[in-house]
Amino acid sequence: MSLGKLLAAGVFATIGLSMNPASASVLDTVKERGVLHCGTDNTAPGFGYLNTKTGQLEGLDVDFCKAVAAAVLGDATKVKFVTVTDKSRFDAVLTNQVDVVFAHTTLKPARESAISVDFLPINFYDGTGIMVKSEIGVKSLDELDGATFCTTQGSVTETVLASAFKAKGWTTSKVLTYENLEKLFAALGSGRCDAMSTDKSALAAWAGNSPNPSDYVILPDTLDKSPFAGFVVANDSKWRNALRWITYGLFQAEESGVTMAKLDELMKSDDPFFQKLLGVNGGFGKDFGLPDDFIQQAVRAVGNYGEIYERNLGPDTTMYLERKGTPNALWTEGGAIYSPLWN
Amino acid sequence: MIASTIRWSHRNLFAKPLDAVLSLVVIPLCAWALYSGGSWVFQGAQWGIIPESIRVLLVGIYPADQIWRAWGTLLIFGLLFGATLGCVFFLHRVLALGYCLVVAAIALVAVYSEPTSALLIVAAAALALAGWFATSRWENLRRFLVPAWTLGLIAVFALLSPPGIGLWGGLMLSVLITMVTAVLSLPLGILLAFGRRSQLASVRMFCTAYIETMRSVPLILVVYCVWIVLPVLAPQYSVPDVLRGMAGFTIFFSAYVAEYVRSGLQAVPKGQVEAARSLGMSELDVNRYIVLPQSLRVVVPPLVGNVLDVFNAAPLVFIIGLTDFLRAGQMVLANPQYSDRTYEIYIFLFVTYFLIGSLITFAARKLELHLAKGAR
Repeated sequence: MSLGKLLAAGVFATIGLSMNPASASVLDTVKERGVLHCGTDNTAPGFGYLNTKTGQLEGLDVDFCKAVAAAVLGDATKVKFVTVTDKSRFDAVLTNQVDVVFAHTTLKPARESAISVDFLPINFYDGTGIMVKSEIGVKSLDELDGATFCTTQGSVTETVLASAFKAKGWTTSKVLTYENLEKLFAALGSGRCDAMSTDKSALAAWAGNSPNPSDYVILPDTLDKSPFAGFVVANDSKWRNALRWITYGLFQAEESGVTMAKLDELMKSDDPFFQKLLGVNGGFGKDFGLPDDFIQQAVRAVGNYGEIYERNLGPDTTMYLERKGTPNALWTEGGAIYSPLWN
Repeated sequence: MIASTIRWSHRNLFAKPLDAVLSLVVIPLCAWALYSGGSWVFQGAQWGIIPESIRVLLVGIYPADQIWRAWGTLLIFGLLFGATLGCVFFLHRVLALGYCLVVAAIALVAVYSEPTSALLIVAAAALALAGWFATSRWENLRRFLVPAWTLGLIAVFALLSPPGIGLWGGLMLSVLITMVTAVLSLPLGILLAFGRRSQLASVRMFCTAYIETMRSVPLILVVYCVWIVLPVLAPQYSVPDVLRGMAGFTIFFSAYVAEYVRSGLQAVPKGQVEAARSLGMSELDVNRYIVLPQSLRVVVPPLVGNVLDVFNAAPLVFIIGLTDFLRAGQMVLANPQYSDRTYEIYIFLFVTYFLIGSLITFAARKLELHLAKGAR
């Protein structure tokens, strides 16, 4: 696979560059085309999946696509969702088949150094989590010394757990592995395992769909980091900067209390900060090649970051993932969702 | 009655000690499997998921208000498929009865969710029957079959394209990939097979290299390569993913068709060619009128088997982000609301794949019998 990637990269480097010597920014292409081609997954609960009733894609990643379409083109419906898989997502960007990918992609050094893509700000912090049955009354990982942990076969979680045990000096804790998440979840339910461990978002989906979600507790501990970010083709700062600041704009909107409901009210505000942020008087968009009201449009379409999170992963959804006390909370509440200064 | 039952079981189940042991082990096991399977199917399973997600399974994310286009496709395919079967065998009373029963069962299930769709299913089935009757009755019609298929496929493309080729999905996509690959890989395969036997060294080497290369790499690699290479070679045209997937399948499977056809070409006795040449027929005519018809007759059964291979390989297009039938099932399951309906969805997929697969093998077997008649 790595040889294939290398070859592919070579092909793109030679053919791709020689064919478009003065390649225009993707931003111009998108504006000219009038439609954003956005790569998402369609089998990832909470991030990009199909609502079978409406036939529409839903999820955090899908909402980010809509926000970008609204910010760049002024219309959240001007987006064409292109399904990408774990295997094809990088090639899809490298061959310009999609303008941007939001597909629960973990940000890692090799992905930015070896594959020529540039990542956007992290928009979700996933990680390996631990879930227990609420009846045993455990509140944190430290209380689980000597417990039986279960995870899926061949996953990284197995090694992560082993090193966690070593670090904590636990000698009696065991790891059992199961073929798939379904069996794993059944083993937790039957008491065969004291704790189940895999990605937090997956834990949330399984607990949320059990007949009685309150039977399970996801512990606040995170064993292994997995930050998700969108990405674009490398060396296109115009497009990347526009997207970075659209993402930051959604963060800032939450921090400043700009919601879908209060948007119209805030637009009438005398506060020069809101006037500029929302593009009522002046604005930040022009220098990025965006309309000045791009944050206003994005928030009008999908809401601020907090609203996107609530819609897809909040308490009313079937895959509720607690936001408070995790990196996914705003920095003002101790999280890691932070926007630079808008000034 | 009892005596005969005992006699029968004594002879068939408990004749020797080993038989008795096997029977005692196998019969309760089968009974238990049947019972637990049956009780799950009729009591445990929550089949509500199937009518709720049937549209996604059958057409993917194809827009709901454009769904009549998919129905139109079904009608066209029904007619063409019936007409094709009609060339091969007559519709016996038993077969017709079985056919009506299957259609009635499907229509009944459909009535349960939406009455209009049941009506359309019956209409498609009736068209298939009409096509079947027509071609089995009037043999003159059969020569229009190939143009009819070509026209039909073009019509289907024209019908389905307006909402966007990228939206094709579900069972519809699997069937379309199979049809297009089957239709396009046949002429390509025949050309390659002749090319491999050509007198011209360059043509022969090219065709041999092509066939051997394609036969020594996995399908998924060919599909993926076509998918990433096309936009690099022709960045100014954006060829939809679906078409690139179909191209990959055609490129790959035409090599296999070529090998089947070549085996047929070799089966034609040399004397036939020599006789034709001595009659003064040109090389083209020899191949067109003498060699090809006889060889195709031999290879039609494996070619139909090849169609089944294409259909069963269609789920590989998930690698380039297409949503075929299997992937559509996974997409339904990805919805957290439905994630515990794995068995229901997969059993539905299994049954559908099984029905379509056995229909194709059934047609292939009939075809074989039909062709064998001439050889007797």
